[in-house]
Amino acid sequence: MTRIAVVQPALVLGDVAHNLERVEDLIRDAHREHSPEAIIVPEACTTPNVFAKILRGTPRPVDGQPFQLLTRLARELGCVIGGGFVAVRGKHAYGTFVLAEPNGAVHLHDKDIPTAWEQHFYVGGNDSGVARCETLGCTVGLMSGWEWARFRTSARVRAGGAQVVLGGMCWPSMPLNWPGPLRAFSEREHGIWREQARALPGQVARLTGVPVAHASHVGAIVGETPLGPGIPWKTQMLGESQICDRDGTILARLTLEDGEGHVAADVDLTAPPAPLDPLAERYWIPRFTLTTHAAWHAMNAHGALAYRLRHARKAFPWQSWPSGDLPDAIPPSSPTDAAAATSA
Amino acid sequence: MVVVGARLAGCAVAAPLARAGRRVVVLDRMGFPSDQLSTHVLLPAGTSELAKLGALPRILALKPSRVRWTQIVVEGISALERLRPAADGIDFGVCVPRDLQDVQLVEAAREQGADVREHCTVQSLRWRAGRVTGVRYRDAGGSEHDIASTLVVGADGRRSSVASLVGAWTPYRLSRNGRGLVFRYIDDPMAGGVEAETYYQWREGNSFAFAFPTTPLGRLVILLMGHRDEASDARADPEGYWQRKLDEHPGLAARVAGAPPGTKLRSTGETPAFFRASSGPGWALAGDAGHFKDPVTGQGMRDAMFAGRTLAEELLPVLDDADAVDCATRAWEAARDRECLPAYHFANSDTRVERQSAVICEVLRDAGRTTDPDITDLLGRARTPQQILTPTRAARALAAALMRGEQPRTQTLRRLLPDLRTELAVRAELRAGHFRSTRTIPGSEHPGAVWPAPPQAVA
Repeated sequence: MTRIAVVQPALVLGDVAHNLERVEDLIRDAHREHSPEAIIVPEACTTPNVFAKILRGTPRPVDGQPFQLLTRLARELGCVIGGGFVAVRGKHAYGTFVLAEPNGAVHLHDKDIPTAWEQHFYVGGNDSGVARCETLGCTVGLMSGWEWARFRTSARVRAGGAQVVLGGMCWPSMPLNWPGPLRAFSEREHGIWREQARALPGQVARLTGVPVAHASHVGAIVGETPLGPGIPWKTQMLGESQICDRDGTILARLTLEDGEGHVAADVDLTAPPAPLDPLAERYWIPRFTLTTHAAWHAMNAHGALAYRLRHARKAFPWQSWPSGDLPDAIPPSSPTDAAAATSA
Repeated sequence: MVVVGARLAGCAVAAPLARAGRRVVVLDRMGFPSDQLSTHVLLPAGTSELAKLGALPRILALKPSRVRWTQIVVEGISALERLRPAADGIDFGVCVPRDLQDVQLVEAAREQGADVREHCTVQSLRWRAGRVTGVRYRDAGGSEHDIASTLVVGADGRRSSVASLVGAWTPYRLSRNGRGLVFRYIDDPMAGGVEAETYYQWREGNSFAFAFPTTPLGRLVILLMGHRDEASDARADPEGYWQRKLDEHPGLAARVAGAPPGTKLRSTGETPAFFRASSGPGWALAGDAGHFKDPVTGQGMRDAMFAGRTLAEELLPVLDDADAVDCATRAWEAARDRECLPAYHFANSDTRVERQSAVICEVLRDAGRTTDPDITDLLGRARTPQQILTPTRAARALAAALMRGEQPRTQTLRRLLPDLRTELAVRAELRAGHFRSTRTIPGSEHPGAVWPAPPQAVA
């Protein structure tokens, strides 16, 4: 059996330095308490991804401080560490998930579609999200954010022969500060999303037929409202960090009410994948409401256009940085020879 | 801020920051005076860096030869040029043995407020949230101390402990040196004459020799750059090797005729050129720690001070903001590479152990028509090789070489093609300006360099 821990942090919007310190503390604490072989923190561990102008300046070089944090802790603690951040890779920013091994090997996965408002800040990648992790002795599927919620991601992971799914989630809810009838509407949507967030890791486990470790943001946060300047989007990160067995059984869980923390569970990574549910011919695994569908399409279109225009004007602060990239698969290396971003 | 290494780059980064009132601690495992293998030479741009560092008055107090001329002799063709003054008007180069020079840099940095601690060896770096936040070091008495720091600068040379500790030990770009370096000091038999204000270099066959008036007045340093394997020849039979070189370079023999025996020969055969990743969260590598050129063009000392000074200039406005510091060091690294890439490729070309091409001979003949600065702008960094050897000038030199026929014309043409391909690739790279480009350029970068294992723990 392999022990995996998931960390559920409550992070501060835009405060990258503080958040990385908090993430380090939580990882160390999880390691002390559980002695796991892998520790997973959410995507966007530099700052929660909501709609907020401050996030234009929070991407970091792909080999920058967040990468150093995850890779150095993996070496120091002798366990696999996974987590994500918005990374500058070449000319664009991506939602990159990093899986770091103690031997210096690192696997990178870029989220395929930035979710809604996230389109303002980065673009999607096109890698398989499947990697061989020698430390865990198995093939790993990596998922970020609403990649978890798409059938095609589970299909990709199944096709790649993954024996475990590791990844992170950053799922801010509907505004909880809207007045009058809007409040009732948003609270109803909030309830639906909470239930969908709870069910999702187990659904992915049954679809892929392998254990999953899903680390999620939690806690209150105030963003901005797209196309609603000055209107705060006061909400909560939904939590639901979970470790599920291949049949969807929740082995360990942290809810929204549990707040910040970490849990661990033992899973079997040696058994071959045994999917229990078929891959449906649908896009989404959860039955999203009409509102969610509408918001997804509208925000995607708005965000993607805004990103393209801003990028064309070189208006993102990170566009003035000298930038290189890392390969998606970084081989083992000694501590004196860590990976550095370069250009071909 | 903490700087590891108190020689050229270390003092050049520490002095301006300390002068501006920042707290700068400089650690060096050596005590000064301390010697160092070096080409020694500074042209006016390098002397200007000494001035910016605040060390020039101390250096001038050592009574160095002030060099205003360069004479280059290639296959019997000679060009005498006046050195182009630096932008601040300094019009002379100096050449100071490192045991005399580096201690003056340390004292100059101290005068400006830097806290230079000698015999202090870095043990480890402190990390927090993926960022370097300080160092642990051991002092001469064996006691260990911690210093917190917004930035740790590794200015600790090619075998940089800081590079090893941050994971940047192995360069992302590396080129093997063709030539070795052998040198000795002698008394100058032409002291007091214009010869003692002139840097000489002779290029005969596939061997290079240099004579630099040094410090104090009346001394010469002679550098010999043949094949890298000659370093072991020089160690096995020093005087036999010396005589062989005098025979190969009659100009050198004439220059040193009558001089009493010099100091013992010192040598090295392993000087590969490289670029390391030189910036990261909370750290930077300055001087030879981050980038090293083949010593054949004698650019290392100037570039080390340039790198240190420009790093300090980038840092000064942002030193209280860790994120801004990391952006600044990355921008600085890119700027350093833009500055150094042309000279890097030129040195890689010059380290090839081969006879000078007929085209180069004609360019030198052209330069030798006047004593105005021309070819030496390359060594003084006033112009890049690409600005000096323009396509028009190269075409003219080729035509002259073919007409004159001093070297077999077929050989000239056969050599032209690969040289042209290399030059076009270099120009394309300079235009592209990619950050930390790993694309090697055949003809410039030479394979086969063996990179050493990192230091066990420390500086």
